[in-house]
Amino acid sequence: MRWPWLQALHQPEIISSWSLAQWEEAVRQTRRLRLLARLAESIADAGLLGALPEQAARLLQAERLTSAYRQRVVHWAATCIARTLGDLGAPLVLLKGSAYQAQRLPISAGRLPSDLDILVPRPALAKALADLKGEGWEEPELDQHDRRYYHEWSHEVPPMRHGSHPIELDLHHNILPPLGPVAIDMQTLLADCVPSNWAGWSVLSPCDQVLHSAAHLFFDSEPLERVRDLVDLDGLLRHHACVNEGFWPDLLLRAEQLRLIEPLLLACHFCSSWLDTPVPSSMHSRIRSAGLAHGLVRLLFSALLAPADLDRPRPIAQRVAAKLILWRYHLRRMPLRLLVPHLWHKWRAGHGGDVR
Amino acid sequence: MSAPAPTRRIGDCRPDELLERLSHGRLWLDYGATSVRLKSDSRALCQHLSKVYAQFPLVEEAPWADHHVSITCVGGWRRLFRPQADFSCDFQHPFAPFAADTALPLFEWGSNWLIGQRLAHLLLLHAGVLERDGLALVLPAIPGSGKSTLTAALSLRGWRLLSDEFGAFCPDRMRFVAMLKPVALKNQSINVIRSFAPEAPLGPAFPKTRKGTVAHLAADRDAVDRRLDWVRPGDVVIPRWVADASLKLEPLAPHVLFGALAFNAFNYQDSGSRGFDAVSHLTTVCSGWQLTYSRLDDAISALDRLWHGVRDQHEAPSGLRRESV
Amino acid sequence: MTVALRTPAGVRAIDLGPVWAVYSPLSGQTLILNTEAVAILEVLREEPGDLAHVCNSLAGDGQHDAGEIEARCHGAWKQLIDAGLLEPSAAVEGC
Repeated sequence: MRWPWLQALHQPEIISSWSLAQWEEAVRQTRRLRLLARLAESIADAGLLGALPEQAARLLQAERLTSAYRQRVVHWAATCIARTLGDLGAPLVLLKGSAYQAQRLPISAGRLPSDLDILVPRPALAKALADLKGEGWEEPELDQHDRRYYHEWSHEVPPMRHGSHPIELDLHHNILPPLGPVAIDMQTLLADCVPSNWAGWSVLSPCDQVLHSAAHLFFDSEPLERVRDLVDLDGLLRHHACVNEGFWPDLLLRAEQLRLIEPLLLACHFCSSWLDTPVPSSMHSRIRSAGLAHGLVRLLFSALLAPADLDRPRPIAQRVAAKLILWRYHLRRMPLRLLVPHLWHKWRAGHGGDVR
Repeated sequence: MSAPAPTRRIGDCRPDELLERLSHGRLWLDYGATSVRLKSDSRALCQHLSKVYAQFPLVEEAPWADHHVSITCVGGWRRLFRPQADFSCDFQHPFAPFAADTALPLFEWGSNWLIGQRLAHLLLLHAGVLERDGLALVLPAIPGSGKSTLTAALSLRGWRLLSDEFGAFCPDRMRFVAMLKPVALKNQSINVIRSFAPEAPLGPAFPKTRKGTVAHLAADRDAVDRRLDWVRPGDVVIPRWVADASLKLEPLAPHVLFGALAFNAFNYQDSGSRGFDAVSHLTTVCSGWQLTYSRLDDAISALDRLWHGVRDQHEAPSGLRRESV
Repeated sequence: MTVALRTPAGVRAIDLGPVWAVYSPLSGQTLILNTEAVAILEVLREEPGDLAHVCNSLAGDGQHDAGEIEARCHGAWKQLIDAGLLEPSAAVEGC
């Protein structure tokens, strides 16, 4: 198995045969891919914490504590925000990790959130912003171009911060940018939202959750080594298929409806081949018959998502694939007349300060 | 009950051999609470490490390091005009590159950053910690307090250094352990320590860093050899350097003590109730003091005297040793 | 405010003389509180209630009248809610 530490997320019992060197690699790789706490939780669930070498046990314990802290902070912020937006008169929707937390999904264990993603319907956005600012949430200082970008071309407002909450608040009005490859009618998704375990908050329906996660990964500008997103997708597919009769046909139908077939097929391909996610043969047939263009994109993502080996330079194929995907992202997101000034602005901003 | 004597020390290693090891990533630094494996192609860094980590064991092959750090000289045209060094850890480049001749401060600050983020199983106080008679003296770092100068001076006068920056406290054992990074002295502190102890093993001074001029004090052999010992908490002293002030040692109110430990720590919140319980314990078993001083020798004498009482109060045996792997 | 509040499970406190340090498992925050605020937490740990209920309990224990106590507790009330040291008594335990 190419990545035993990835396999261990689902089959933690394999750790009992690991040498110290294998442990060291597993800790380094999972940490940098933000999966160390997830690995620790899998091992804890399987009752295997006692089987760890001391050097690994310390670091896994540390990461579990950090994960628990971050999740506590997110939950608390969501509690306060539900109070703040209590009279918004519109649904409050949790997105991504916070949703998984609020639903207590298996993949909520071992997360390391640094922000809270929420969504309100577009008509309620102005009031939501005003209410949040009234309670101490602040928007960053933005120049004119960035302000215009957020207001006209983005699906979210600039990330907000609060003195008492050590996380960023990302307030969305859509799950995807309006000028992206696919425009989403949020009303359709809002109609199917379901309640969560956190008072005042709903979450997307199971199918929409999967499609959002897939689109978030496969439409992004920098999907480099985002294996963690695949692990999330694997978890979502396994869980929802298990508890929802007719999940797979509904998922396919919804993907057609929202024109998100491409990211769904990519998600199913990588989850089944790298994480052994049970995917019905009908999906495999769709993947196989998806055409040459899709096949090329799949090849690029294969190079891009595969975690690089440690202590060596990144494979050239990965660096090339990253550039190609970035170009594809920009070209599909904005018409050239908007793209060129936007990239120019970003380049100037990037070369004004410290290079990261 | 000392650690087995290591065969060789970094300071004993020939420069070309050390550079060979460093360039192949075969340099391991065990600080006690955590360990780093370092790789670098910087000749200057190699020389500086040899001074500032002189007493650390030269390990042939360590089976484990918590952090894997690379300091690489940035290539291309920059090599000629403005050579730079870049810090990375497992494909992460958390900082902008530094000037190549400040590779040591870059390594020290970068590894501090990693440590602060990754060790939530320990409560990392922002404090200097030293051991005497099996008990830990904790010096919380308040800006302008002169904590590093005092910590350095104490370490040169018979107190065993555990750490200048990170007071690493284990909430399970309720004990301190060393995080034995070299003491980073800034600006006037450097000259103060040079006058205080002309023989002190100070590394080179790096002017024009983001924190002014920085120099590092190498840990002595005893501190290195006993870095794995667990140490019971003794007392907490908040130092306050005030020019020309007369010496004063005043008790701290318990809530000030609690705040100086909890609200000044690197990762207090990360460990949730564990952190709260750990600070509560320290507040219960330690007395807190504020030490106002203008002369180092006076401060050290005052702490020496204080420690007689602290020792009696705690009826201290020697500290426990952590099992070696 | 007539919503009944309670002290969440897992709140930890240490007596530091004239003040207390108190930890909230909901927000992860640690606060330094005076004895009035801690008294509120103790009352609402026994039994959920609103501010009036707390003030009556405290007046019943000591020699001060409820009005005076209310004035002193009023400021602490919001601070405790904002810090996650009080929660609605109907709140479901989160994960």
